[in-house]
Amino acid sequence: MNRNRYFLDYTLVSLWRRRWKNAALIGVYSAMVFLIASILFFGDSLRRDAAVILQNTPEVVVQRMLAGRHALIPEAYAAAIGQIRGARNIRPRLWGYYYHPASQANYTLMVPIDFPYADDQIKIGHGVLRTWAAARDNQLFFKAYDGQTLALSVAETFSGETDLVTADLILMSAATFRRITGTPEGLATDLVAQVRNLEETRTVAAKIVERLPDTRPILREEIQRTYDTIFDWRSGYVLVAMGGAVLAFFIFAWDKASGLSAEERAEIGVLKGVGWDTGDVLRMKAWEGLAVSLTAFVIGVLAAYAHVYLASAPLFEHALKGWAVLYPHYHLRPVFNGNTLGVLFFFTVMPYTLVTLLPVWRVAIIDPDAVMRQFG
Amino acid sequence: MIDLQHISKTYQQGRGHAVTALQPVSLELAAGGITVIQGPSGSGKTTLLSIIGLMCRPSTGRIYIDGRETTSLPEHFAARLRRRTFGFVFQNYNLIKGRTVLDNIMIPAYPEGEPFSRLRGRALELLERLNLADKAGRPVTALSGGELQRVAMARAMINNPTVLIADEPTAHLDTRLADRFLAIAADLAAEGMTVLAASHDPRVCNADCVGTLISMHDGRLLDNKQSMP
Repeated sequence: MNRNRYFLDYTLVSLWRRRWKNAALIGVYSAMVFLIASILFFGDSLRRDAAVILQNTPEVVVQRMLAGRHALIPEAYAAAIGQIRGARNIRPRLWGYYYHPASQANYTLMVPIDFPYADDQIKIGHGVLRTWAAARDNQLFFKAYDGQTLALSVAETFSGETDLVTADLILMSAATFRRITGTPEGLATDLVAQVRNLEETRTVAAKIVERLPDTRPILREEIQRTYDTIFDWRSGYVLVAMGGAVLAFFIFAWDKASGLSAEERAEIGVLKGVGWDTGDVLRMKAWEGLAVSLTAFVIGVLAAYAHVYLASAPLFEHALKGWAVLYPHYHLRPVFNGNTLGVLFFFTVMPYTLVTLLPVWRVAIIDPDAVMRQFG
Repeated sequence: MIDLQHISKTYQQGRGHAVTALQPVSLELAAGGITVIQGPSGSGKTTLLSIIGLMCRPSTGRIYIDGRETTSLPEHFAARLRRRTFGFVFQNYNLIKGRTVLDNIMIPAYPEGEPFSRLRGRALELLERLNLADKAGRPVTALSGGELQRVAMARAMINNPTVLIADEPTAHLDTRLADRFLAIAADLAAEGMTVLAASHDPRVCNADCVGTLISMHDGRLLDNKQSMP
């Protein structure tokens, strides 16, 4: 106990002695931890939000496939699916995309189960209100599939808290949706179904394909996996883009570590000469490496936390949220993920500590007499 | 107490080039008193001191300290024996810059892990004894040559060693300070400590307090002179 206290004390005084050099090192190191931690925190938060959103979605979405492409599905298919044991609450959905040339943006059109407003009214997300060009007197003008113009008035807007999923959303009645998109009566965009026993989801999906061979059931877990993959891919893309910075840091660390100054080498020789053994020197230097890397780790993680959860990650949002005219404005909710912190610790603190120990070990195993003759 | 049997040391300098610093030497050093190894630069004095003090391993031969063979000791045990048996005063003192006098004195005792208050108390006692009590909190870079040497002596004594090894202890000192060093060495020898010094300074070699004078030349031992102080 006392020994380690002495070694730690020795280390802290040594760090203070070279305080400007170490401050610069900690600055660069913290910046690297900050970049990586920001990306990991961002990914964690988006994945968690996606999981929460998907929790309330139906277990199975059934699409009709025609020539390998998604086609409109007859609403009558719902009855056939309803006969499968375990499937329930089967209902058709109407949704699609609407490109508005003046805004140069794509919006999502959707028909909710119970739309409380009239056919010429809509409920829209904040992003729509923000970006829709030429909105007049609370009215938005749509060009229907047949070229006719429809004026729809905004009855309600979603609250800003739901911006992540509602930013580009326009809710309308089924009749209005069919009028704009030209979707015929009796056809829907897709069907959704719930499954009584979640363990049976795959069995139900297999039976749907068996009875309706031109359909493709998509399971909620598959959508979840797709979201995870997208976020992983985006995080990976940004990490690769930052690879240069990370590499530069490791070169810097290696240079610092392998380039023990003559003074540092002589000091190791003196310590051994007055009775320290190789283990004592390594222990002292390990404290030094840990003190630097842990300080940088804590600073980097706290800065990343503030950057992602307090400031909504302004440095990476364009790369990580995706590319769109219509960026949703939302606050990421903090997620504590022990795995993320563990991985970050393992890949930032451990390598630095080990890299700094290697050259020390090479000097420390030499006879103190030889070290002092060479560098003293 | 220290028995060297056929000790030699050869340094490898680059590929295929070896320099013999010490020819095979056998020597017995009794406990207590002051022993001085004299000889010109390059005669092997420092190498012999380093080998005796377990600062480097001999190329051949064996060393016995109090009857215990030490040449084959694992590094960890050799370091512990070095720490507890020997105190070193290096030619250039080799104090650690950027640290206070008190820190420098306590550093050799850190691996022992004894309570801080006890260690600090002993270090302050040594400073008091060497008239450096008022310098305890000063950085070593602010000291004069004589003060640096006394700090180095205090550091050498912090672990209560039985042997004090000093390499060219008066090389950087004027006559007054050299006399002071000899007086301190004589005091330590009187208390039972073995003082072993390498020097080519006549002030040291001819000092009355020196009990044994060993001469070296080109890595070989010449005649030994023993006298009672």
